[in-house]
Amino acid sequence: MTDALEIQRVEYAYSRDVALRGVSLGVDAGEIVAVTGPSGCGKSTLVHCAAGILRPQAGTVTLAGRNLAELTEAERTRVRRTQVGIVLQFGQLVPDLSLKDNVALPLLLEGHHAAAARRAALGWLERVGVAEDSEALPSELSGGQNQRAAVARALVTGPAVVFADEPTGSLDSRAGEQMMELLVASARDGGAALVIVTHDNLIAAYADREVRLRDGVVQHEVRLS
Amino acid sequence: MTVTTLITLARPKSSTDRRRSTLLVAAVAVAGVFLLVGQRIVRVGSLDSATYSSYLTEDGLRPGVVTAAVLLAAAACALAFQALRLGTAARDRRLAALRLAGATPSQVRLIGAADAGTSGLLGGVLAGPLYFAVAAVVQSLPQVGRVLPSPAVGDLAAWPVLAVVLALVAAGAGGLLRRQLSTEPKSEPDRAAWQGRYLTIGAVGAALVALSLMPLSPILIFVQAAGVLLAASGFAPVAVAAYARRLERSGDPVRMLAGGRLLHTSRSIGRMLALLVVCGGVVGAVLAIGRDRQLSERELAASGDFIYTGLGFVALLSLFAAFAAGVAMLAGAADDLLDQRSQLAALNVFGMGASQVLRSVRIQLTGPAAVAVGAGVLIGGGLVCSLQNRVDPPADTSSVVVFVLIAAAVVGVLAGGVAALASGVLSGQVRDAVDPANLRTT
Repeated sequence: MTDALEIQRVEYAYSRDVALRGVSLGVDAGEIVAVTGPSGCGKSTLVHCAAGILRPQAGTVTLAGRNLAELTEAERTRVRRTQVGIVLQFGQLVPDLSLKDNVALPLLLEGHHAAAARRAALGWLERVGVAEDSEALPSELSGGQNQRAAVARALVTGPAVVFADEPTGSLDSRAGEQMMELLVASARDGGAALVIVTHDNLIAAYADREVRLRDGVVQHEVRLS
Repeated sequence: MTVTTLITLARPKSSTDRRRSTLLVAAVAVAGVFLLVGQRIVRVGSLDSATYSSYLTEDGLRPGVVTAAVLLAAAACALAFQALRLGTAARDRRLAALRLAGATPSQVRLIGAADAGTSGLLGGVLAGPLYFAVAAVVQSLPQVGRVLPSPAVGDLAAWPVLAVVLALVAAGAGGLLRRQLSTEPKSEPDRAAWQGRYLTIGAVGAALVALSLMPLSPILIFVQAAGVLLAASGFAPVAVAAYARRLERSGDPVRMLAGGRLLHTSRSIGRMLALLVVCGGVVGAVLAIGRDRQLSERELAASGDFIYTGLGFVALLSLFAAFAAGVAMLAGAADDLLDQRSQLAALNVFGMGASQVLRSVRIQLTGPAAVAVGAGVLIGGGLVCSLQNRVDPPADTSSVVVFVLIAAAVVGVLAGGVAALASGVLSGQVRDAVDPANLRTT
């Protein structure tokens, strides 16, 4: 299999705190990896470096065959837009736009024709089960419905890797389970690798492999399936 | 709840809260100055016409100056009210958390009232020294510009009373804004219902203006002005909503983002635009009067100072009101950016960076401001032309009409340019909003 994501000896420090101390991690295409660990261990920082949101101070991140360190900001943005999908804890949908327009945004930013982008968005909203609410605003729907739309937004561009940072953190256990089943099925359906950040063992159990971080280093890796 | 707890909870917490308080204090202080000016002129007896402007010494003109002061105070109060609403979403969440922690609705209202009342009192206290400073400046002007008598002992008594009244009004408004605070998610207001209400208000205003233009109706400037204000207040939010929906449908992500925000805030932005329409109207009327050939050279030679002083003060009034409306719109946009920072940071991941978000803010502010001011100039100039047509014999206003049309386009474009430049003030807030650190915020 081809590596969807290759992280080698990545280091990152905020002004005072060192978050990552030489973390390495490889993710194959279609693989599901759970990054676990206690709060403050560097999980989200690792994902932000892997997704090209933060620039690591040392080490390399290769995403879909592109070394992010060698890219300009515009090129990194384009890689992020086309090769990365991201699902965050609270959905982070634009509150003033309908679900359909929220899902269409990455395609519109990429320059797709509006009608085509909205058709694709509607298709993904159908797949995640909220098509009937496509014209609703995020504030008119539940957290679970918003998260479903966030999954659609993450996958609408056909990314190589989907990062989910505590995707069920704002949901109850039943909605969380449904969310994970949807996320895993959608990622597999789209052929994307899935990296889930979680501190919940039940969520980590959906992964093929668990990578546990502690104090900015990989404590251990376990193959789950 | 003890007073100490109340003060602790009401005190501004974030930098945005502190900015909001500063804006509120400043707006209340300015409103206080204009109200002190108004009460001073109301209480003044006969004045020496060699020392003071005719606007003060002639009994028929004095109410006009008082009205202008009250209108300026009203514009400052509108800015203060907008400042009170700033950061509402973020503060609502904080207050909702207090409700969940056991605070009663009246305690939450009390916190809102204490927060606003403290700023109102501070503004009222500052109004006194500011008023005396303004009075001193006016006394140093030539006779023609001296539209405010020198301060009197009565002002010293009026000042603390006014400070308390402003504090109470601010506290009341602060408490009222918290009256519907709920721990439940807010539902969207019924779009058809509010648009119907606003269209009715607009239609009433338009009917007032139309009636005042009928051939046999008396010429009532105040009725026309009230009609224009009502029509603008009613039609502007509906027009903003229509424009916003057009932007949303465009398929351009930057314009969609601007449209979404405009649609969400169409009523508050519409109110500010109504104020801009009125300011544009004043400018249009002044320009049309200035262009009118009936204002002969002999008249100007006889009372040019008087006319130009009047036009100058009217221009200042409209500039101040436009400034207040502009600041309120900018502050509202800044508040949106703060409230949507985690969503904007997420959009940044998808490739919508700070420059695109700033462009969307520019679109949000520029078009509506330009159209509102331009439409206002057309309305103001048009009303002056219609009045000129009713004199006997009717004046030839064709050249004034052409002039007003050109002026509306030029002033509208200028207003749009100012709005575009002013939106640059928000570049720091935009950069902060798209920062990846916001991805973890709710």
